[in-house]
Amino acid sequence: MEKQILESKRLGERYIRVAHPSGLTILLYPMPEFSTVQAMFAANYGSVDNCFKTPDDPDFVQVPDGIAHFLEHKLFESEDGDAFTLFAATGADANAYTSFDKTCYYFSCSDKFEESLSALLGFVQTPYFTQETVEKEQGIIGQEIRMYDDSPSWQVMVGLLQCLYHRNPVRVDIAGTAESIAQIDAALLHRCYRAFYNLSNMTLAIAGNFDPDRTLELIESSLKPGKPAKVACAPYDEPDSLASKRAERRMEVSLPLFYFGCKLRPEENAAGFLRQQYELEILLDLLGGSTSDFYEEMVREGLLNNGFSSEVFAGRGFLSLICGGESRDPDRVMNRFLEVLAAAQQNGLSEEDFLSCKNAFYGRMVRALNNVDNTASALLGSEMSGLGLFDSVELLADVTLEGVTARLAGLSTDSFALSLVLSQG
Amino acid sequence: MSEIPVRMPIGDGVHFSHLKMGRFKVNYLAANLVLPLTRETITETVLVAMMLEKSTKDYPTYQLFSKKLGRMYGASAGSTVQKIGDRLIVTLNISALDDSFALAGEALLDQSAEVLCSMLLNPMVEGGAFDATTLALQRLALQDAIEAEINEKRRYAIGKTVQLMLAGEPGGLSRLGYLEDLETLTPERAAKAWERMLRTAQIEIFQVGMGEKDAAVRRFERAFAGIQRQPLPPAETVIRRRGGELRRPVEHFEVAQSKLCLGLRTDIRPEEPAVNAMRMLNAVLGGPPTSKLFQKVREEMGLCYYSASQYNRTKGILLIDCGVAHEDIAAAEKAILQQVDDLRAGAFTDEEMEYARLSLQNDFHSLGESPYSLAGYYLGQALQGTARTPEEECAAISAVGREDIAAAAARLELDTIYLLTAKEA
Repeated sequence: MEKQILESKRLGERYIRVAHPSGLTILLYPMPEFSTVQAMFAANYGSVDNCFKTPDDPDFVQVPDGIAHFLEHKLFESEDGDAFTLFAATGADANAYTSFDKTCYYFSCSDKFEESLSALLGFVQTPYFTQETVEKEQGIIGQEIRMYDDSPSWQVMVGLLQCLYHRNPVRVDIAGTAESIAQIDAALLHRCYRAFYNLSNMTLAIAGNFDPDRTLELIESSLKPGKPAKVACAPYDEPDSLASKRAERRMEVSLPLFYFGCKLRPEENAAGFLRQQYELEILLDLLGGSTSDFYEEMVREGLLNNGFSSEVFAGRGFLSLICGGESRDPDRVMNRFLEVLAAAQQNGLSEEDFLSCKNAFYGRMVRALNNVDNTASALLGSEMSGLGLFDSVELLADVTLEGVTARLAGLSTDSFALSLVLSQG
Repeated sequence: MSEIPVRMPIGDGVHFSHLKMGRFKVNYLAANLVLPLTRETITETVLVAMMLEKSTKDYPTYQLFSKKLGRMYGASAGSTVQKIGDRLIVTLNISALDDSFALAGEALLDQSAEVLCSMLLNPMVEGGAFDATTLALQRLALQDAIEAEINEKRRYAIGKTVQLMLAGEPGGLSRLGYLEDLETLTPERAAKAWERMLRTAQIEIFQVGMGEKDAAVRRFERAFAGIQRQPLPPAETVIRRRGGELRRPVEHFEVAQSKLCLGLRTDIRPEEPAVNAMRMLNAVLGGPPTSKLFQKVREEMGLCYYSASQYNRTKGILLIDCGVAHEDIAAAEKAILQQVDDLRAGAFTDEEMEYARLSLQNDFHSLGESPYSLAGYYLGQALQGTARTPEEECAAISAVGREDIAAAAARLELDTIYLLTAKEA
């Protein structure tokens, strides 16, 4: 078992990284001044992994949309009952989520940590699916889907992803549809579980007030190593072009909601990809953030309010820039943004603004490590992106104006799409 | 082991509470203005709060204000308005990295206190009027915000239920104010509103984090010494059962899923020990995933994705809500009411009680993990005139017995069942 102590002199912090023989990566970040612990156990498996094969399969298998999320719901059940009952007995607050590229099971507690950790490791490694429990869940998830159908902020995002991507599975709604989940059965769930819930494809991150040595012993005795699985995801051809320039949906909203953005090709290696994201984030902040001339102008014209945000939307196999909010004239907002982008490509970016922005970014990152839950999340997220937490902080320190300017040069104003949710009218 | 804030008077009706906590890398400062909730003043108060977070005489545009925060390593500042009982609390806050993390020895805590003082005491008011351009923009933004309340249906349904339940009482006022008031809110009237707030509010200032209190206390003491105040004694909150017929309002929107909200009232006051029995009741009913609503209405009957309850001790209301398919509304209502009846009849197990207790205790133990939640907790204590620590609350919850829960349930009255559903075909 390979154990490393990773340190950040800059932050005065350290954590332990263990490469377990099963392939599981274990991250232990003691924060003894706090009272709680958060443990997160995640599989590198999300809604984008909808067509795959293992060495036992002759060919790629397409699984129904929403199955990763469905599996997340079902894993809480076992023959003896619900995993929530185990956490209830320890007082821990447990939950899970499925994103485009990962599924994460986690809990937070202030007492009985070891019992809660045993419970977490136990239920995630013990799949139990029957036709009866599958059918019942279809009803529950059906209601979850309808809840999201009524959410304009979710729908405007889905609209943009469908404009940006032809075939990349990130364009598919994480929970699927009522029709797609109706095709899910216990056999399919087992198949997905076997392929992806393999310790070599998983990460365990723990932060807070706990004893790392005792915890490591407990983890070791709770793991059920199997053969590392080799899963291949089906390749797809995603052209650089947009699938569509524009999407409009009508829902019961007051002002129009909008998202505009463009897709980019992710860099090949982990460090390159992360640097690309940081450079783009700083670029977005400079062009359209709260300190930008663009934002000030749009607010003065009554076209934007404090609901406007921009983000770098990135994950396994996808990268986009996304800006959005509410406006009485979204087309004008997008067009103005593109004018500002083109002008910046001509005239360059201010060094002073860049440094201020970078410092602010660094400050926000350090502030995020201010509590247990955010630290556990950041620890997990960076590891699963291929770079450790402290390496990520150092990488930010190395971002330069030249790098950001190069990213700016790589953008094209006619590769942007616009998604709208408009009122019924 | 909880730290207890040191609360001291620093002016007439102004108190400063300091929680020095080494585990936080930030210093969080919040100035809370405690005001009466009245129909005449709510909209103008919300508008003033929005003005105060945008700019000050020292940072006359939002862009300049944002740039200042950026230079403070990405500090964040803003305002919130919330209803607590029959009082309105306007909070201005700022959060920045502690001085020890500043790369060039910047005095970030003193700068934070300076910015917060500027926000509260030096806004863009000249000659008895707010800056007209900014006011017009914020008035438009407030109009947009009020009109956008229908966008997220779950939150809208809950808010509407509370308003209808508490109609005619201060607590029933709309949290953002009213559209019809906006056109009367001139720059002069808004400036008068700010003067009134500053003159009459009880003010509770909190500092939570690594830093010492001297810098902030000095700045605020000096600032308040210069102004004339007539702080009003805080309003008494009415807590009662209505004792009338069950109300059944219905609203129709274009929705894929209906939202059902049940509002119950109690006459238990926030200072009463019975509050802890109500907290237990709420947790048994609809708190953690082991609660009755989650287990019966979601898991067993598969009727909804979410079904939960929330208890507001400051106004004596218990709210149950769920998202349900249109065809299952009657079944969901029946199932939910059955859970409430079971509580009244004492039909809950010792195990359910224990799970509720552990979950509540975990919530209390987790309060100390973020400066924001700690400041919020102690504000609640100050408003009640008590100074209990989270540990003391936990101990009180440990002492709640089955009879106490039954007694609390007997003081609950079902007041309103609100339904948001699809438009008739």
